[in-house]
Amino acid sequence: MTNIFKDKFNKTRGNLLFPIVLTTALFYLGCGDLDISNPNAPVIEDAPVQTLITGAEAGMRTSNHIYLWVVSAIGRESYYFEPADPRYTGELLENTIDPGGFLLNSPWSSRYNVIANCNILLNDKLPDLEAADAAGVEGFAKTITAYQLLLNLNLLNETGIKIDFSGDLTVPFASRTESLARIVSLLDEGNSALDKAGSSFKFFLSSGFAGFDTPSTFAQFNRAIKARVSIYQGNHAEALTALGGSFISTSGDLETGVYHVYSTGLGDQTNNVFETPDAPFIKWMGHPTHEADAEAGDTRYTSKIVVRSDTTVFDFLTSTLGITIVSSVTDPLPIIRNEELILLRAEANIGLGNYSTAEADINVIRAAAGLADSPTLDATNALNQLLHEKRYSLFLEGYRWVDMRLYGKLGDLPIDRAGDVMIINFPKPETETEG
Amino acid sequence: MKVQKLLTTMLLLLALSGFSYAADRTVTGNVTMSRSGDSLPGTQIILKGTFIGTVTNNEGEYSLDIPVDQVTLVITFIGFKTQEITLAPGVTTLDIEMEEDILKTSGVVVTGLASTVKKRNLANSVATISAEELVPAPVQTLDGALAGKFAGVNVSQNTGAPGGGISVNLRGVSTLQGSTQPLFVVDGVILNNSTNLEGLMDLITAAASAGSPSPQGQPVNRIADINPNDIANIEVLKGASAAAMYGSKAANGVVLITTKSGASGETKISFSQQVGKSSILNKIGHRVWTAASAEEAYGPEGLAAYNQNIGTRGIGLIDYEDEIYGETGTLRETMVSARGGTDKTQFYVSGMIKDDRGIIKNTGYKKYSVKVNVKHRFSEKAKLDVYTSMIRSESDRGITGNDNTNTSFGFSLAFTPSFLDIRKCSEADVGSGGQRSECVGLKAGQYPDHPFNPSNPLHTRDVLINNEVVFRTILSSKLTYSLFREQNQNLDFIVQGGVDFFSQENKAFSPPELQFEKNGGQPGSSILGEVESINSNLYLNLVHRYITSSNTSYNTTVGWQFEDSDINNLLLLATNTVVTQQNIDQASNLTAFQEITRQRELGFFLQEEINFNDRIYTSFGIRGDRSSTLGDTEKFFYYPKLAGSYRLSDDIKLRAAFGKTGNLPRPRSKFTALDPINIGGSSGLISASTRGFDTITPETTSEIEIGTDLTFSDENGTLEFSVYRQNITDLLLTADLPASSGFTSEILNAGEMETQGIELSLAYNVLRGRNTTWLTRVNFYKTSSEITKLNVDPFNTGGFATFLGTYRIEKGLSPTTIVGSELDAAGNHIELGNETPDFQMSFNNSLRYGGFNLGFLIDWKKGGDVINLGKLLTDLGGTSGDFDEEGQYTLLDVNGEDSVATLTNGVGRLTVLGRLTQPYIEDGSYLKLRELSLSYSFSEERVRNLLGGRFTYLKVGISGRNLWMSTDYLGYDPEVSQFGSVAIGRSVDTIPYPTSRSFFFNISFGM
Repeated sequence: MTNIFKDKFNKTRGNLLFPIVLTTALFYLGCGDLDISNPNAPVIEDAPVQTLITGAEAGMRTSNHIYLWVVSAIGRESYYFEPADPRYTGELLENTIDPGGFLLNSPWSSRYNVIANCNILLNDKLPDLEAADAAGVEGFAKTITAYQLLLNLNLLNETGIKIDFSGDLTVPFASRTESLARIVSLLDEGNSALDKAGSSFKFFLSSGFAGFDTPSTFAQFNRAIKARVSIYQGNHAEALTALGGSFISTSGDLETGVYHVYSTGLGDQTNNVFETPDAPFIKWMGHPTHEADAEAGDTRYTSKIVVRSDTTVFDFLTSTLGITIVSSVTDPLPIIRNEELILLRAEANIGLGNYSTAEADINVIRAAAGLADSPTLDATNALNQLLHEKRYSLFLEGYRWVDMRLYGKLGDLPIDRAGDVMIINFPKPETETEG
Repeated sequence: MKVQKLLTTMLLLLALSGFSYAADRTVTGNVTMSRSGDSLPGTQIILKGTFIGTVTNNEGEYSLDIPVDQVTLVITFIGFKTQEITLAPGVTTLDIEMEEDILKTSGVVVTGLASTVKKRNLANSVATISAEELVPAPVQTLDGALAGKFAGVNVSQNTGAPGGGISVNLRGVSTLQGSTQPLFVVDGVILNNSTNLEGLMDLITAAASAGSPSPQGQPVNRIADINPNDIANIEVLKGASAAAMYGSKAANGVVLITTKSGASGETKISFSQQVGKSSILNKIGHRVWTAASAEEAYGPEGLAAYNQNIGTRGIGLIDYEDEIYGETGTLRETMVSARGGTDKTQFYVSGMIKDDRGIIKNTGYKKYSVKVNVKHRFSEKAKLDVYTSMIRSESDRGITGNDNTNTSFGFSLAFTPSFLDIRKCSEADVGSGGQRSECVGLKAGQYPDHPFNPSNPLHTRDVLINNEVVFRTILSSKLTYSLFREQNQNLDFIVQGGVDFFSQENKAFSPPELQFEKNGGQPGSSILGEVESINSNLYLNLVHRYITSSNTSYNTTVGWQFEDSDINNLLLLATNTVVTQQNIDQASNLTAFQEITRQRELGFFLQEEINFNDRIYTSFGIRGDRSSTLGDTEKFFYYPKLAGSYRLSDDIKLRAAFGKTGNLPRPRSKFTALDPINIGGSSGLISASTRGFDTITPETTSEIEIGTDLTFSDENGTLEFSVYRQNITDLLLTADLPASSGFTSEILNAGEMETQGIELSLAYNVLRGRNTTWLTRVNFYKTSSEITKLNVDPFNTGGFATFLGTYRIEKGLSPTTIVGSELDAAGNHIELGNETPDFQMSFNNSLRYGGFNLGFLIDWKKGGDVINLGKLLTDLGGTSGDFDEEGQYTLLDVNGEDSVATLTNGVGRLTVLGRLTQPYIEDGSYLKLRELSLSYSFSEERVRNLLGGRFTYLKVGISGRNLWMSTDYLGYDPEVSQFGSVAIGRSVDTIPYPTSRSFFFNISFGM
């Protein structure tokens, strides 16, 4: 046996291994470059204008389904029976809204996320573009910013929203009036920019903007949104002016308009509101009063609802109404369309006392739905008739609660369970307040 | 740079020289074990105060030349008490008997990247455990085997799913949002213990879609792959004072694992076989329905189902917990190992096959592992250790935990009242005279759709696949080269490095026939996830040892560290699949995600240890680290340490230590990036929701620990007591931003926290007869934390929403404070509970009587609250076991005043929901019998007669894990974390895979 510790320790010869390794080590230690760039995502400076425009358009769809489920539930157009989350049938119907909850914060933050993209376009990208190109980008960015603000204002209403994007908590919320004014000015600024943008954009939009993808036609979309905002402001004459610049057409297809489009393509979103309406259990279901109040033969009712054979009872709420507003996960959802514009014109005219003009527009819509003309409109019945038409024409498009609130008629909406309440304004999101 | 120059100069000044000495006489003898009289090869015999010595040969013999002036021998062997013997003049033969060191008082503990210290001089509390204590009963994963074994080490499972998912937390909360898991170092390689593809099942369950964006898959942390049976020894460096040498990665402590190695001598082969069964540990029970309650909860359809199944068919209420969780899974483990070698080369090889089936059909865990460790001495100067292991692990985990599609088993069962029959339709059911209305139109063997829930969990269980396969190779080696050696000093150059590579493949398939898939627009989902991870590190160390004639030893270490990590995560989701085809190209919709993580660190380390005659020991050192994850990648961050111990007598030691460690941010934290988002076939980018912090620095933990180690009853009892205080600064935080800024959050260094605690470990050899021994260990520890500074507004984090229970981060509060809807008059959140337990305690006992051995480990957690959302789900489904029992609930009367009413629990809890969260916050105390083993070892003589050949041992026994639990908690197990190993927000229960109890019969034999 060899004894490894035995006493034969010969003089160690100097060896090269150790100094070589040591020197190499020190070299690496001193000079090793640890600056690794982000392998997963580009930074703002590297992003082309087109990707930011596409990103903004794509981002407009984020949480849109939650927004629709929320406003439609509060407007008693539908229920959202979510066994995994009690908030859709709890918070929305029987409680106050949680300032920290996702029902408010998901749509709220998604809208400002799109606005952030628009601001990158406006602040970081415009200076490098030629004048006409810059005007086109400005027109797009301001119109989209205005529309995104409007959706958040629809939720918060009298609470107001943030029209300052610095994230500074000391800047107060703008009141509803101020917010609407800011939205209008953004739309108007966008409209003037589009006017200077030449005959075509240097960027492209998705098929959701088919027919509205040049500066002049995009301006029609801008004016359509302006008309809706003017109605919310009570500026009926201004609404009519705006509609004049829009794509309103009583002879045209009522579906013509601008849409959120969905696809199953890579990185794209599918339409989350779709469910097979005859599945044994579905979550988004019509409110029973929507069936009860429908006029016989109204195709606006029959095309969007299917009555199911069994009754669903969930959290003490009952429904048999399956929803057919979309028929697949790639069907689009409207942003604004001709049918709404005609009804907005009727609404403006009612506001101005032009009942017969309004009646003519309403009858265009009713005829398209296979219904007889409306009763003669006058000051006593015009508004309710209009709200009825809007309810069925724009079912689940997000307006019932907003419209009833605008005219102080939330009390007319049904309350299903003892203790349920009617929400009027969403609160300020928790992160937007100090403390 | 100055530091480096200094080091270089100092090192080059060390001359290379040799020595020889004059021998006075040669001493020879045998070393044997005192109890059995067997010889003890490999025992070290060293002349005190020098590095001169020898080791015994295969027969236990030694021979050593003794110089004139050296007369004291120090005899050491791991697992035996160290002896010092002074040679009488003229003595030339000396036989030595070594006594077993049952309490391990004379081991050595790692103190630097390449140095060790005798345990009795150690200045920190370092918990150690050896192989036999680690795995008395089979365990699936290494981390699972650690539970209850150490003071200050909280090992808690996130889910009971096969293959684990376990959090290891050392000394309480040390971060708010940074990484929480300790650094695992196996034979010198830093392991990747990440959890990968966390959001995988979320793609089916949409769990992360609404309330909480955090991934919720309760994934396996990859330390689970290591075969616990290969481990020789584990050292846990709990706090910063012990772990400072690992610098910027050590804020959560370090777990050092040494695997088994060979020994010179005849090759010894061991074999063991385990066969067992698992079953559910604890059921939550189910509501007893009546026709009236069925109708109230589920309307006319509910009543009809009740009447059909309870009335007409008379089948009674169905126990769905038993249907889903009622399997008794078969457990098998086969392990073979061999060790042996010569003086120059020693080896250890092992192989293991493990196949465990779960308590849910189609779930289970398999592991195959092969290990080869070789040590070779090239020459007197050079020695190489090589460690390799290859592992394949596979888990089938089903679908459990949080869910927004009501697909997971727990969620679906919550909405499955026991009067409903959703089981397979039989031939009789579907015939013309069939009594089951739900089976009309179906074929025999088909499942009916669930009328009250989007999925039929029994059907899901039968066809859904959630499979994970990991191939892992861990390679490391250590080259020790003696640059020079003299009688009283030596200088070694040690190169240690390794690679940890794994590829993980996840396949999940939810076929289009499933109810929730049929209902969606894109029936059928197939998910393919791939992870490739390479961790590598290289340490270069110079170690200089010097002993003076007065027996003061100096130990100097200088080292350089290179650490690198590269992980590529790829996830493909295909929906609208072709019938039951799992291939992702046979679908109409494909979504892809990829995330690459690259990280690199460079560091150096310098340490001096001085030991004054084993009486006073002091150590000080510093590590400097640069990291690619930090804002300034050129800057060194320094982590110093300082420790000392003083032995008042042989039985009393006082110790104190200070140290600093860091916690690095995630590599992406410093970037503000744009996220991909597409529409209509065009690629787009959108502003990220989180704003990065381009000057980010590490979170640092400074710790002071003081303690005492006592030995009593003639070294038959030891008591270790430590108190510590950690101050954590530059807390890494993701703070909420007002969403109107376009960002919802930003990453910051923004706060400070203090954590303190006490740890007490008592070991006592109660009985120590020749035939009877009883060793008992008791661990006790408690910890508490407080946020002392917060540069951002107080915020809630964790959970799903404030009213569903969340954690409050606010100055002056413990970071594990649980709050809910309840506010006081001033509008502040009222504390409803705290996740941190009052204390934890464990009792580990080992009794031997003749050939019989009995061991058991009892683990007690006192206090520590859990947000039990499982109970909320069963309330919503009306299925809670205690739904109809009455309780007191505080309601608001018409005037808005509180009024207490007696309501049934289900109604009461749901009525106050939104206003009161308290009913869903529960005490998570438990008492668990974690391990139990009873074995009989045959005497060597009997073994030889029975097995013949060279076999020397044969052991048969039974063992069990998680055999018994006592808790008031109304869920499967209060040890739960929906969000995996997050720092804050762990104790949230959304019905995970229930914990199972396992029971084994085992036989082992060998040489």
